Amino acid sequence: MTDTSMTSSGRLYGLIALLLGVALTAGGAGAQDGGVTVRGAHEGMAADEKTDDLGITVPRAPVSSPGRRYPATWEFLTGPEVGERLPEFSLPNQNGELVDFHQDRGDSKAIVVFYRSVVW
Amino acid sequence: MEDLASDNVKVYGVSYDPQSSLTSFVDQYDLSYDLLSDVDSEVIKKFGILNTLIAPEDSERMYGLPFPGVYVTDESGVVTEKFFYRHYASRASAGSIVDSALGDVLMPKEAPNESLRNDQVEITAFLADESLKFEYHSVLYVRLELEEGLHVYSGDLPDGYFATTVSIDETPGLRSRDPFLSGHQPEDLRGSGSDAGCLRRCRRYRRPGIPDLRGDELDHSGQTRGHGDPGESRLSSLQRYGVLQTQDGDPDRSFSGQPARDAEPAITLYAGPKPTLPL
Repeated sequence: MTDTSMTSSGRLYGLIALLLGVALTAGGAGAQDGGVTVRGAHEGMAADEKTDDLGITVPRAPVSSPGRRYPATWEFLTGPEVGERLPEFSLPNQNGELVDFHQDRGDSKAIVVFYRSVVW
Repeated sequence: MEDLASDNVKVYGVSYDPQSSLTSFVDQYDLSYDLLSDVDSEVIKKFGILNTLIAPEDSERMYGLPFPGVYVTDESGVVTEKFFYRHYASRASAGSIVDSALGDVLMPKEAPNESLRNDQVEITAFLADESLKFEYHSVLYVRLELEEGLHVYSGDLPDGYFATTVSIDETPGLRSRDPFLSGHQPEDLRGSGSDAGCLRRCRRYRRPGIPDLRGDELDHSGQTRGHGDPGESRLSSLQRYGVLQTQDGDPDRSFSGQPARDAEPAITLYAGPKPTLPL
C-alpha cells in the first residue's frame, strides 16, 4: 500500500510546516521531537466516551484511557522514511540472546514489526 | 513465511514486553522468527515512534508503547516500504507485507479471484490475502494481460483514446481507497506534459481494501463517529461502521471489539460498456 504511506508522509510534511508556524507564534509550547505535536483522537471526545472513531467499544475503558490513545489524524511520527537505512540497534530475543539487527540480518531483506504487546 | 525464507527475508518483532513473555508467546504459537524485547522502549524512542499521547504519569504500564507499524527493508537495511496506521487496531495484512518484501505479487492459492477475457485482453482480479480480518488493510490487484501489440491507456487522454479505469462498487463492510497504478509508464501523448499513461502488457492496478464490520454478524448502530479525521472522510463508507458491544458476552473480554469471524470475500468482475469510436 504504497499510496497509504506516501499519502501520510506527504501530509506529514504539510503538518511539520504547519506546526512550525504554530510553534513560532505559540513560543514552541507543546512541541515534541521533530516539531510535531500529535493530537489524540480522544481529545475531541467526551471524557467518558467508550466508543472510538473506528466504532470499537470497550465498556470499561474510555477512549481517553492511556492504552486506547491513538492519533486523531494521519499526522504522527512514523520513524525512518522510505529510502533511509534503519538505525542500528541490539535487543535480547525471546531466548535472552542479544540480537544486533543489521548484523543478524546479514545480506537479507527484513520485515521489522513494531507491535504493542504480546501480553494484553 | 515459506515464501519469505526462500527469498532470504528475515522477520523481527519488537515490543516493550519482557523477555519472559516473549518466550512463552513464541512457544505457544511456534514462531519461526525472533521477538525482541525493548523493555525500556529505547529502540522505540530511537526510531521516533513512541506513542507520545501516553505520559509516564498517565500509566506506568502503558507508557512506552509505540505507534505500531511495519518497516520493509532491502538487503542493505534501507526502508523500501512502511506500513503505519492511525489506529492501533488497523494493520497491514500479511499478504500485502509479503508482496512488499518480495517485490513481487503472489496470488495466494486460496485467495478470492476472478477472471474475464475476450480475444484481446484477459482481466484478473485477486486479493493479496485469503480472507479479510477486521481492520487489516489488504490489496486488491487487477491485472490486465494483453495480446501482443495492444496497449491500455489511462489518465487524461487526447481525442480518439479511451482511458481504462477500474472502480469498486460500494460494498457494505468494505472501505477502499482510490486505485493506483503500478508498472505505470508515463507517456506524453499530447506533447504537452499531460499525465497520460500507457500500460503495456500485464500491468496492474492496486487498490487497498479495508474490511469493515460485517452486517450479518453485528449490531449496527448506524452512528457516524465523525470525531475529527478529515483524512479518512474521503473513504466511502465511514458511516457504515457498526458498533460491536461485546465479542463473547463478557465485557471484560471485549477489548479488541473485533468480530469473531474473518470475512470471506468474493470478487465479481464485470466490464463496463464498450466505448463508441468516433467516426
